[in-house]
Amino acid sequence: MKQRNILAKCVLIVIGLFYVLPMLSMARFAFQRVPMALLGWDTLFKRWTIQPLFTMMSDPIFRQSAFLSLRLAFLSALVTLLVLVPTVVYVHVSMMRARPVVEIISVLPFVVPAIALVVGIAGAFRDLAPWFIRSDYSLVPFYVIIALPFTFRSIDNGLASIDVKTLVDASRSLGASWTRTLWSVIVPNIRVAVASASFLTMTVVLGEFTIASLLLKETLPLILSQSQGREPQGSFAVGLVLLVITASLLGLINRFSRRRNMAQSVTLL
Amino acid sequence: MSITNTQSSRGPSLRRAPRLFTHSIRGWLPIAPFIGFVAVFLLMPAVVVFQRALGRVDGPKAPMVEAITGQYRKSFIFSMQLSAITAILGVIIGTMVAGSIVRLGHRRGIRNAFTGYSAVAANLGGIPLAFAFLAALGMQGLITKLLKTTGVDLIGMGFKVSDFWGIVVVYLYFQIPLMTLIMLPALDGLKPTWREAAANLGAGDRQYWRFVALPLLLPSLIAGFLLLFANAFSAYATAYALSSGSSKLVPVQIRFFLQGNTITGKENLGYALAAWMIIIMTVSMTGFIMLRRRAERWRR
Amino acid sequence: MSSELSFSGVRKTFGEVVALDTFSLEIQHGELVTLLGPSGCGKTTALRVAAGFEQADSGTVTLKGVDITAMPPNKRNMGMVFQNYSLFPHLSVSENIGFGLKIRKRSAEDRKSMVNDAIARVRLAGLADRFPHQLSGGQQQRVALARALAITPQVLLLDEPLSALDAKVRGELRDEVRRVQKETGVATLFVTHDQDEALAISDTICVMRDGAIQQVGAPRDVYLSPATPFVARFVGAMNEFAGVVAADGSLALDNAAGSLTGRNFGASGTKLTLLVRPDDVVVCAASEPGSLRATVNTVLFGGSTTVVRVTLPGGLMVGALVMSRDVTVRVDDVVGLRIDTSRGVVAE
Repeated sequence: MKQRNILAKCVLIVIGLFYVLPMLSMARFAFQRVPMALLGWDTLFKRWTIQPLFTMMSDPIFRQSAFLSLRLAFLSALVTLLVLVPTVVYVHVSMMRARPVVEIISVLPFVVPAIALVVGIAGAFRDLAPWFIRSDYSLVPFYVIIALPFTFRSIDNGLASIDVKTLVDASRSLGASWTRTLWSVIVPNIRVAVASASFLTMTVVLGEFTIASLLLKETLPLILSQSQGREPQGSFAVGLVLLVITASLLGLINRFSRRRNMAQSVTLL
Repeated sequence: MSITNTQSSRGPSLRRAPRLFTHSIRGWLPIAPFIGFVAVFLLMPAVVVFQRALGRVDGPKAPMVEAITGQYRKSFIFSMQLSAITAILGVIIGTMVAGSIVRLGHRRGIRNAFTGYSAVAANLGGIPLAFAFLAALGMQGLITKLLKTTGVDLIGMGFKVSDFWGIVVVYLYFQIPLMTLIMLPALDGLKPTWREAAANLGAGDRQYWRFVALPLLLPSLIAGFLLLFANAFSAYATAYALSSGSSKLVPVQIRFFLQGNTITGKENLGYALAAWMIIIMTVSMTGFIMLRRRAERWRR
Repeated sequence: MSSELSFSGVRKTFGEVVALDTFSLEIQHGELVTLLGPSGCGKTTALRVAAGFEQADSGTVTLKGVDITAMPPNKRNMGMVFQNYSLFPHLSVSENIGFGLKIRKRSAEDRKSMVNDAIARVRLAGLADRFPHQLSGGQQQRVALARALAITPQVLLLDEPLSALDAKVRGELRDEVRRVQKETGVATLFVTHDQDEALAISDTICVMRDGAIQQVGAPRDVYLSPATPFVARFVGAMNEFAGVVAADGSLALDNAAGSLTGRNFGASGTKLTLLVRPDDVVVCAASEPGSLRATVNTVLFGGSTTVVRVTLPGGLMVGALVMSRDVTVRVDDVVGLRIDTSRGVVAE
């Protein structure tokens, strides 16, 4: 029995190192002004600076892409909620038998990988509505689609954990209209799910590269990739910050849903 | 809806049939915007992909056939090999990690830390991950240098982050946590009562694993393999960033077509490649979902 | 007659907690012994020590004369039914039942006929190919029982098998378990915290508390002649009369509620409580000599019997069990109480 415990500890230590070391390497590369050739035990703690991050952040191209990505993130979160919340609420309140259908639809994005999707997007929209994909904001609906499997699960779980039908019946019997009920009764009770869905969408947007790059939209991940040559430290620094932000958002989701005892999964599992 | 009910209870039964029909259609109406949204932004592009892939045939072969012959055949095999290997390794290592977490589970902190980080790492990909591994195992990588001081010369051995095994290592960064997250609930679901019942009925350790534990875990293991396979197969950004756009992987190859670097008359090939990707993903994900259902049925 | 299963001085601790303290018990062939007690009393630990899932710190467990204290659980040839089903979810009913036989390498034909016998015995015919998730709780427990018996065990161990079931199903299954046990004649150790269950099906009840045995005896004896105040309170309902012993040996109840006579309670001045069953409290007319004065508080109709709750001066509530057809009193009536003190148990 004891040997199995030791083996378990070893496995976790090795994997822990595997997870941590690349991040550390990235941090070292980004924030230490010591070239690899000169790096030794004596120089390990010398010349650490956050400067590369600031250099990058003051680059106008970078700023533009960062703001674009942020705008896209907020818009995508908003559209996600607008598309999902009324639909899923309706299903839970009036038409539960539609739920399996909606669930299957929400999983469809998995079947069409981003690269295949963007091929189809180019083909479909270039001829039908070229004005659409000329705009940067055309990315929004596709981001909503990509995040759909996770965001649907989030809202669905949130509604499942409160007794929506009873709440709606109570609210309606007290005289509230449908909109009032939705806004004042249902949404406040699924705050955690709504926040989770929003954060999930935002993390998707901040990390999405495939569609943006192939539709030539200059989002943050794209600029990051392009800056690798001319601003290596800066781009790595921003990459690390991006990871930290993503991790924090996902961590917050986990913390909130655990407190509310919701079965929230950030990976559809 | 209440109006419909009262009317149908008053009217003659002849009128009930059409009313039920309209009631049922009317029920689906509020979901129409959602379905419409998905139809326009997901289904339509997918349909277009297949339309163009199965469309007019320029040249000696249909695009769908040509997409899996010659150099593209090599790409598909390369992609599938990469996906299969990262999937198998991910399954093995991920299950070991999940097993270790469960075994040391009395310490809540360990479990939370690993589960939390796995949730983040499983979604990691794309540019930042590629950067991290370039910084770690690249030519000027920190770990490369570290290993050199202990006598392991990665560069000398011909290891490159952009090569097959390099990409395998990078993909494992999100494959392992993904499998961990799949296997944790599966291992949790192995109730200790079953082990006791099996022992009580005469089963030793080996028989317990052979007749009870393994059969119960098998659906999750296979489902995990399929998910990891699909996950690796469809990955684009990481491969692109590591190889600076020159990888032999199918997703990256599709890019060439989109950027117009094609021999004229062969644009449909890009669509065909994409269509094959969708087919492979559909098969994998369907298998995954079916196996998950079965595993979940036992976990009530 | 040598016993089938016996515990001798078994002691088991979990860290600081003493789960079993010199536990000694014998179970005979064909006997159904129930370990009864509140949670934490050690009954489940005793069962698990018998099964081999816990190792006793000291003492011995013997099966038909053979010392099995150190024997691993899979060699003991005991059948166990767990509280929460524990049927293998990936196996059908017949595969579940035949599991032990498969381990013992019985041939497929043997297995088939033995499994069919087992299914018939627990009356689950027709469900052989179903899977556990398709069965109700009661049906699952029948399968668990059949599975445990299929290996013709020397001892049958049941760990609160009915606790997770609905009340109605519980009753049916309780009788089923008893019937099957009597048919097969297997020595059985039954663990429960439900005293009604224990009273209904046992040949012998062993009341436990904090790792020690309080009383071992037939259900009737445990109920009518409880050995300790704990047993008296745990098995069946009890009225508690607290007071001080008077000079003449009678018990002067607190709050001047009256006096209990008919028995010498010991040294004058001792403080004690007399525990009396509602069955031994009779409601009579207030004027009857020697009775305690009380006011009727509630009349709880319970079918064939009724519980009449009265309040004594000072607030003490006492319950009397009366045959429903003999009830003549109503709420707020003033009545008298006659207590059969000879059948009471003295507690501190």
